[in-house]
Amino acid sequence: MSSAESYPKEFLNEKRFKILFIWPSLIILLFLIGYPFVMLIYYSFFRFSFLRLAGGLNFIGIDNYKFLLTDTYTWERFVFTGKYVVAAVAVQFMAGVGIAYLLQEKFKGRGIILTLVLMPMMLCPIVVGLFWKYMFNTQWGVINYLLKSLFDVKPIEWLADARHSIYAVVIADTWMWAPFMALLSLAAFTAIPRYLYEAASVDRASAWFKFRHITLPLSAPILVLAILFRLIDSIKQFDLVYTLTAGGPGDATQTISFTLYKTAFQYFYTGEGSALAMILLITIICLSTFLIRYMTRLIEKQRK
Amino acid sequence: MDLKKYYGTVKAVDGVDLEIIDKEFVVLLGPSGCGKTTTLRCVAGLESPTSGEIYFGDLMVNNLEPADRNIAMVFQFFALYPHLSAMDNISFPLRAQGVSGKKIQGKIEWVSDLLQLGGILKRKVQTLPGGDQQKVALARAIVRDPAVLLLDEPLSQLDERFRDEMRTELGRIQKSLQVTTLYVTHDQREAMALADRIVLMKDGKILQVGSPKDLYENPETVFAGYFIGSPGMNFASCILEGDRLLFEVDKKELRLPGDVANQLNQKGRKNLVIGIRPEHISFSQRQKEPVASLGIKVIRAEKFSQFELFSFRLGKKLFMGRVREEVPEGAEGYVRFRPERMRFFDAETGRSVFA
Repeated sequence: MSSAESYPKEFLNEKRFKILFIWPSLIILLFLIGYPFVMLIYYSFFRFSFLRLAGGLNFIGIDNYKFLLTDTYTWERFVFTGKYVVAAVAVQFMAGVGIAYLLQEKFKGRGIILTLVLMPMMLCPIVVGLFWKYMFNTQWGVINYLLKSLFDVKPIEWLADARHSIYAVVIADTWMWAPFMALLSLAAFTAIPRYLYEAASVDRASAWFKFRHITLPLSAPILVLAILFRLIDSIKQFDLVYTLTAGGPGDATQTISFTLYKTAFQYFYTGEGSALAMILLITIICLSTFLIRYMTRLIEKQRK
Repeated sequence: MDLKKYYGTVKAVDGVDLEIIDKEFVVLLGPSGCGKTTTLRCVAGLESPTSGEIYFGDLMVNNLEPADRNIAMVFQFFALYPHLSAMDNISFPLRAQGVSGKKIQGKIEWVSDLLQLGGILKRKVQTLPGGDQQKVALARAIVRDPAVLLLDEPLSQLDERFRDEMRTELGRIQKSLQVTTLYVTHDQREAMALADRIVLMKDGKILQVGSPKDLYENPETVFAGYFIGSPGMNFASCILEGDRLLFEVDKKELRLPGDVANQLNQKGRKNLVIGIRPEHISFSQRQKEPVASLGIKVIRAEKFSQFELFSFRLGKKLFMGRVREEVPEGAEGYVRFRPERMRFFDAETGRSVFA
């Protein structure tokens, strides 16, 4: 008989103790995510509105999905969201990597600059949307004022012109989230050992060659992770658009999340909204699965 | 060149003045923290000296970037690009220069023949054992035909078996390439085996420059004698009285040969340190010769490859002797120092009396 077995069985052994810790969060998850999720799927097969409960639950099979996927309007919104996501994430990525590149060397005042640079992402998106709305104002906004005084550009209708409003959203979102890209890039860059750059200097590599052949490949996994985060977040873009343009002018800056919000909580087409939410969810899951696979492969390739 | 590099008040390199001849293999040797690596990094251009000038030929290179100095370097931890294959690591300096693919191919074939890298070119460097990583690092350094090859403790990360092999290999390659080489190490055996000239450094200063044989036989300082050789030179402080050396504590006396005693007396110093290498001490049960001979008791004896190492006490110090015949532990007998091999140092300065 081993010594371990000679102890009396405790009520709280290690396994039970662990389970005890898991339960509270499991219950919360079950109620806050599990239940709504199941209901979401359920409602998506009905014609149903919370505001018109008298209308009842009418089972219509996959008609909601059929309608949405053949609806040109929905497709337009998806296409716009796609354009917006690609533009915003690309600009943020380049800006973030650029900032990180400049901040990787130690210099006087770096700490302060770093803090200032990282500030925007700590703000509330609603607030960011509001003050960019003022800055983009055609008559008295600071952006047009600067453009006029520096480059003598005629006032641009940033938010009221459908051709420009996407840029306004991309700029505001970039201002807010480029710091996030910068933070992750900086972490990735500083993890690269200095001696590799010394070796490269001796090997007569130019700054660009070093960046292209050492910095980028060695920080790629984290950069892809940063892009992944921003992609998922941008597809869900709602709050900034809500305060900045309210999806306007017309539908010009209406992201798919915004469309979802309108369907579900302005028109109160609960069934159709649920179906749209499912479509959006599946899209995001597919996209992130693909990107995570890509990232894992990238990391494995470096390890081997 | 009087090179200096200070970090705040720390004098990492404090007045190094050295000229290296074309195609020479020079080893900077010294204990850790002696400034040898800093000196090398100044030459590489990775550090800029606080004061002093560095010339390559007639060209002052102080303000040149590492890339413009036509040097190549092997780093202590190899500094291979971990995400690249051995081949891509080696071709890196060529690709960085925009050399054409065909030429790169030829260069890689050449260097892979020279270093026998055939089997590992396609492998990721991280999967390679230390010895092979070392070879790749060396290949990357020489593939560009640099004017100066800098090596920073290149063998320190290898296990012993590889180290001996690579040391021989390094020597062979340097000789066949005829490239001026500056090599940093704290291992005196590497320095002795490889160097045309050794530069012995301590506390940021050069203590002695000379051929390995020179440094071994005629150390100018007690430190040089102690640092070079394994085990190093034996030292004991003593007082010169006529033709005798008197040792403290155990009151032993050593009679010096007449000419040595004369020379020493002419220098007029009384407080001396005598130095003698283990292999210049012999042991016998009976005293054969009164000059340069001492009665001692063997404290310990051990086999050391084909030699016998034995220790005995002289003054405050433990001396090691190295002989071919067996020495019984605990035996009492006589040691004799080979008179022409005895070295004398000033007890105060630690410098050779005759230097």
